[in-house]
Amino acid sequence: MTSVRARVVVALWSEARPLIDRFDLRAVDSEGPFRRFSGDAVTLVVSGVGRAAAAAAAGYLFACERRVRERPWINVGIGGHRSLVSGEAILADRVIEHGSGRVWYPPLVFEPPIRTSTVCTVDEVEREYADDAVYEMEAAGFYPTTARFSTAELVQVVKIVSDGPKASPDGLTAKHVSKLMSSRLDDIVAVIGRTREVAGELELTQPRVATAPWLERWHFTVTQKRRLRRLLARLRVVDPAFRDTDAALARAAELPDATAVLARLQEDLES
Amino acid sequence: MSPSIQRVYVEEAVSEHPRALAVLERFPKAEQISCGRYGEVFNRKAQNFRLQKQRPALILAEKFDRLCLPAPKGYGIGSGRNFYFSHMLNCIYDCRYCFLQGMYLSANYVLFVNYEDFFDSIERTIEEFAQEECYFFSGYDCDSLALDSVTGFVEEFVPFFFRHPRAWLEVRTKSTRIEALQALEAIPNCVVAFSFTPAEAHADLEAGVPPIERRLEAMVKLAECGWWLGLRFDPLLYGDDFEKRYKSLFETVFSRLPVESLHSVSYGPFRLPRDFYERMYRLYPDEPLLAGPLDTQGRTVSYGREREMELLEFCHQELGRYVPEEIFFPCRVPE
Ligand code: SF4
Repeated sequence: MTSVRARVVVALWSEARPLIDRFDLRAVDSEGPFRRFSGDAVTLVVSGVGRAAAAAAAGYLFACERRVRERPWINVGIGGHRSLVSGEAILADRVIEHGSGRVWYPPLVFEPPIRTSTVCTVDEVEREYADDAVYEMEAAGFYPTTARFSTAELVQVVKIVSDGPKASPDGLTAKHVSKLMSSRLDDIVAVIGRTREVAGELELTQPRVATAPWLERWHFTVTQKRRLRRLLARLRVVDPAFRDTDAALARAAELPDATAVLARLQEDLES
Repeated sequence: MSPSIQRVYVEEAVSEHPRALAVLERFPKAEQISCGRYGEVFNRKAQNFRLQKQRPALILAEKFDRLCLPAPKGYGIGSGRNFYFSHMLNCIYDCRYCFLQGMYLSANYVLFVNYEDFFDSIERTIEEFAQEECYFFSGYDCDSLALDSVTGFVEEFVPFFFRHPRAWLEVRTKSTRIEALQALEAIPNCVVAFSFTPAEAHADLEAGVPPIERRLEAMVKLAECGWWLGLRFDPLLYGDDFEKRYKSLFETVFSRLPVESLHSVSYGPFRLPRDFYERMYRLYPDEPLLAGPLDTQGRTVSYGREREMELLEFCHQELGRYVPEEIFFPCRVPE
């Protein structure tokens, strides 16, 4: 199981509650502009209602997480649909911003554990349910923002149907929302889990290069540091001797400066 | 190998196109998503080709412009004019050296269903260069045959070229899906060109590509039906024992193929535009082919002149043992 944590954005406290319990999350940074929770598998932020709030909360969470990129981002919440029954869970295959007509298509690289559907983000509570879509108020703020922080395959939107033509959104209480979320928690957890696995796979493909011992021994400029990193990453792939940092360092021990070190590494790569 | 497609994006403009409907019928369980222009899905930034390769979607689209273009310099198998057209983008195979990984942000397959517009464009090109022999390459942005059971490419394009005998069609492939070709009469102006790398490279670098022996079997069958064959040793791959590898590959290939069916043999060293290489390296930093020693000259990444010459000279000489020089076409990539 990967150790990559997912970042979850929810609008309401009642939506957050079941997730906080399930993932055993603890509140962090009570002074911040948004309520934030953290655990081993997930960090979560409660954004408040609406596109702008979801985008702002995602940006805040990204900053709090030291702007580390390529992490899973999941927007979870409730929404209305004209025909799906209350409690149905869907994964967005298309996110439409109703006001502007802008559309995003979250790519999916795993078998979805739940059905997929269009999600349409509106600015006012929807009562018409005109199209075959889940109507809600955050996804179109969340998606384009978080797709700047991670590759799109790691950004997903999960919605639980809460209302429709036969069940007015006006009657929804916090308790009812939490209950709906709880009823589909396994599905939500499954999506989070699969997205984390994909992020884990991606992380495994990235070269792990220990440059620190090299930087301690010689002085490298910023450009030279970049080159060092790249050369060491490539050498590790083509020459097993470079997977042992001490042995690799020993081979360069007598060299006077960074320029000579880089020249030697280049030679090693070409030999 | 038939891909399992679980998601199909359909451009609104082609949702009623008979070819799109026929393709959709082949994937009744696939999720269908309507989209405006295919670029909204395919060209979005922040996509990961490597991840998408695990579960590529199919995009059914319409191509409006640039349907038939002059082929890049050095890309040719004759003295005439060279053009290429792409009814499809991306490929079901996963060759680690493939430049498509560096060219496109998405690994989804795009199928342009408006073949009639390709025909118009190719016809106009043939008319424009009426005094010259024109070659049209179909497998530049995809493998021409690998998805033929879905695209119906052969069934549509081969008869079209039969009606235009002054124009040549090259169907470039690593696939053994030759049923549609076998079902047609061979035409004199079509070359079915198969690409090969040595067995070791096939094992290490060509995920999903049918084994060499099966490709050769397919070629023999096509030769028996009267089709012209092409051999494409492209890219030529360098390595400590490249001589041994290519010698063995050529022996295998020419022990099976009837040389009189060969229209052309071309070969070209592994080269990439620099920005494609950078993108591919970022996707596959763990791939020795991309991490190994390569030379950047201007906007091109290659093995470097010396190694390229070694490869080219050796292969030229070896190939000369089997086939006449007149049908050799080294791919001269401009410096
Ligand atoms: S068969 Fe050709 S197009 Fe397909 S992945 Fe390999 S090199 Fe690329």
